[in-house]
Amino acid sequence: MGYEELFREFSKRVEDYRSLGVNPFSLATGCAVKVDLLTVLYPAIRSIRGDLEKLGMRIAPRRDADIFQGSIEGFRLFREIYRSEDDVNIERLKEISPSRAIVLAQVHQRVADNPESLARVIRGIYTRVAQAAPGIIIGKGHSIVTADSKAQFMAFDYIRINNENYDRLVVGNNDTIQIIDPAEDPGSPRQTAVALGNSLNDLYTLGAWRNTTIIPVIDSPSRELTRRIEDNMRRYAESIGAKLVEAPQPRTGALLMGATVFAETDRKPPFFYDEVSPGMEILVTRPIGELASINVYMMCMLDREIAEELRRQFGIDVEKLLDIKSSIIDRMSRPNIDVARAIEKRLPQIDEDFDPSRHVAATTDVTGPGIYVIKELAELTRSSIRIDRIPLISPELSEFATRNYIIPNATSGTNGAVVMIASPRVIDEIEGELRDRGEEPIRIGRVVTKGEARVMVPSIVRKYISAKAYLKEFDLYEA
Amino acid sequence: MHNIEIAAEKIKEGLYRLDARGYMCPYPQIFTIKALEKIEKGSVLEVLIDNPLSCENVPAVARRNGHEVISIERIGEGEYRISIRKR
Repeated sequence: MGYEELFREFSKRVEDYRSLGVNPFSLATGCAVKVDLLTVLYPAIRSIRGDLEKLGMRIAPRRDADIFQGSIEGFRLFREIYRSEDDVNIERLKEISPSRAIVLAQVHQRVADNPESLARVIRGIYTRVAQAAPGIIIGKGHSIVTADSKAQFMAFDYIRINNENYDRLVVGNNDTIQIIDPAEDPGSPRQTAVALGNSLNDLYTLGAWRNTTIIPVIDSPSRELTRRIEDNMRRYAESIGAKLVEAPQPRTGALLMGATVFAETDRKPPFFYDEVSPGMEILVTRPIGELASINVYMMCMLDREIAEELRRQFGIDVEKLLDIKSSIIDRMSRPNIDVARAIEKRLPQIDEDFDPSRHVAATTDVTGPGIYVIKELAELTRSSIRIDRIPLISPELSEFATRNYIIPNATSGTNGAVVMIASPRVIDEIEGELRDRGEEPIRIGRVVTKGEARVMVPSIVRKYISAKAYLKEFDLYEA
Repeated sequence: MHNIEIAAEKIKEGLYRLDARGYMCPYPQIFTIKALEKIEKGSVLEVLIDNPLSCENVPAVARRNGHEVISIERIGEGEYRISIRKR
């Protein structure tokens, strides 16, 4: 298929989106939709945390998942959707009597411009909730932007724990995407699979996969598309043996898909940050940088000269680019359950101590921040980490995406690889097990010292990240 | 070239405006470069955006293509006007 034919297909797809009332260029691909964590979200939360704490609300520190003692059968979930603080029904909330909540906030991109305007929008709702449910813990929050000013909402998934179970933990998470590939049908099973896999990935990263429960988040401009996404979710849940539970939906008419998900574990989660020691190694379960190829493809379709430039610079024509993109989306649509099982096997039981010769010390998944997640691990473990290589799916496409300011961080992913820190012996075992299951694990570095949180990265990373906010967090060295 | 891109509007002689509000990054960057290709050298293109990421990337990509970024003004909550002179 030549450029003209691909472009005709692409134009038709754009028209299909437009006939649904959706502008595909107003949608962010994958995790690129999050409110900027460093410059907007964290400062906004810091500015309201004190007042909310006075009302008895506790906002858990930034984590990839909520964790509490109990079992899947031992709690009930109630979803409430709010557009403004007036929607918070205090009587209803007292009736629910939740002990915790997992929150999804979708705000207009102008609101996500700075911490003050974001705080203004969310403060009122949080305050009413804190007044009605004193002592509530916000276990996990997920904040995303929309280009549609009418699509602002907050979804509170309230959790009432009926039965605490002291030999098990429940791990919960919420995540959403607007779209993963705007060049593909929004109701295709692959789009839905990436959205659900992305939600589950934070559970899998902690080795939690048993008794998985999925509570969908679906918003779409048409009933027919909603029904297709629901069907896809039902089939996906069946394919991984998960239970699907229905809940109220935002119904703003904008495109959004994802889920709040829960799973059980009888193991301690890999939060053994104090046990991380020099000599431990860093493993990535597969190469990273999925979002570069999708965005480069979109740009090539918008401008043939970009496609020509890509071919001239790296010898990648649009057909090859399409193949790369397609295989990446296939991989993103597969759940990382083998990784979850490999981690679970190497975690201590609830009543057992951490043993560096048998257990994984720390994990995280590679999402929007890409390779920057290693810096977050360095901070959690108070370690200096030396990265020897940046394991990209396509260094050429990541470099091209950066050079042309197509995405600010071309190491980003969605439902991406899992990064883990463990002793060389444990890393050997996991590497072998994942390779046997068809994954492509790569050892990318090691812990050098303890004390100061630093990440030393080969200076070639400048070819793959243009965002200064990320680059300044690394100590670059010439390889 | 394509009917799927947005085009700049001529405001007066030597001044054009591209309204990329409502678009997500990276699309404002590419629409800006396409618009700059179509206007005369020395003319000014005002790009209106409301996407925080594009506020960093539109000026960067304009400079990289050899154009002069004259100003970046905040014109409302989360809204920016980036003025670029074509070189």
